[in-house]
Amino acid sequence: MHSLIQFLARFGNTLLFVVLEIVALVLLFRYNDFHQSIALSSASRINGKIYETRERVTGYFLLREKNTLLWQQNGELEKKVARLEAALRQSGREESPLRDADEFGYIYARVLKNSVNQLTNSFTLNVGRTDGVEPGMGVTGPQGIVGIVSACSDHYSVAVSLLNVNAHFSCKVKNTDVVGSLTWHGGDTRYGWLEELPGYQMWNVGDTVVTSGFSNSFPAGLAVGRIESFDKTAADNFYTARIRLFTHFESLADVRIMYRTHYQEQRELEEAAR
Amino acid sequence: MNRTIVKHIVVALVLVLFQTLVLQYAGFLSFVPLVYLYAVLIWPIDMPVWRALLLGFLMGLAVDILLDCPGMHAAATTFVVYLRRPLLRTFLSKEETEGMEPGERSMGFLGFWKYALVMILCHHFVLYLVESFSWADPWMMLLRTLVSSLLTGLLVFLFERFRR
Repeated sequence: MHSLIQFLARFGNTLLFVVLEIVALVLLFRYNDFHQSIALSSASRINGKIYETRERVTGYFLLREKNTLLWQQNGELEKKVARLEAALRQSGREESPLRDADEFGYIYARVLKNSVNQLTNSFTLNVGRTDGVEPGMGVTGPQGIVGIVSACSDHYSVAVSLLNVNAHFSCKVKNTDVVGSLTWHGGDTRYGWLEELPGYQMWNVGDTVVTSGFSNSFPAGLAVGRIESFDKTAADNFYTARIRLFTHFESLADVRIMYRTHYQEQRELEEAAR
Repeated sequence: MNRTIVKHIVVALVLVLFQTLVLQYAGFLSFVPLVYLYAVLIWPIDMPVWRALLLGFLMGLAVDILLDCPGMHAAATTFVVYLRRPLLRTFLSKEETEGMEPGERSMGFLGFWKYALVMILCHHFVLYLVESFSWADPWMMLLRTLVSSLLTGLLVFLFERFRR
């Protein structure tokens, strides 16, 4: 007993240091479990409140830019509607060609907190489970996809940003079947990387990259970015393309969370089949 | 004694909030000043090590939780808190007095800055090393350590100008 006290008096601080470092590293290496435990993330009630207050102040800062963006986006949409209506009239079809789009519904959300200068960036949204949000749902901004919901509390949720070196998004080159995996390599927030692209002939610099629709999170064809240059991977025959992302992540403010309207049905069916 | 510990907890809280709500958005590319470390720098020289370790860990954890990055800041901050005592002993040119808080005034300009720079560099290095465990780009990591340390150093310099 005496020697134990002596030992603690001598090495107690070092012991405490080692224990604390181990706790920190355990948290670090169980990152995903960590995100599941809401209490330790920005989806928690206290954190959510802090960031909600912050957003109430900073939300006004970039209103002019956001307004311009919404205005432009509106214009694009109006053009699209006009074109579609014209096409509908021409073909005289009863069935709407928009059926595909109906498969997904939107939950509108505001970004309370958004990080861009870590390697694993994420953002916090002001909607949670009571609003129908669930982990795994895709998040899109005015200019394209921005991330996937990773954790939800009752009133807040956290989403993994596209700017995350551990996240991969299934994407394809528009109007082709060339599929690759979009990720981020840290640093510059304007560029992402489309990895594991097959042969060069099937795509070109300047092509648009869109979502592939192979995941449950996003429908096919949502904008992501444009191919700016490419590299051939040394190890295999795949190419890696540098993608200029359409979204300006620094000024992310209003987003939509996408949910599949028939997701529940599909899940029940898959459960039943198992 | 109790009043000093309350004061330092308040300073830590304010700096953590300043870091996560303001500074985190002021960085460019991947370079950010991590100024909450200033709270650790100015803790009294004779603060019990176990108390400093616990405070440092909790502070880092608070930053981690607010930034959604588990364990990184906690690991880095705990590490430099452990380094603090030996470093202070090395760089302290004057006599150590009871309850003395490190600063340009108490340690002399050179003494304080040797201590502060080593602390800042170590903290940032451990932080970015831990952050990039799953990601191997050593040059980027070193660059981030150096540039971010420079930014943190600049802010600490400003803080020291306005101290008392």
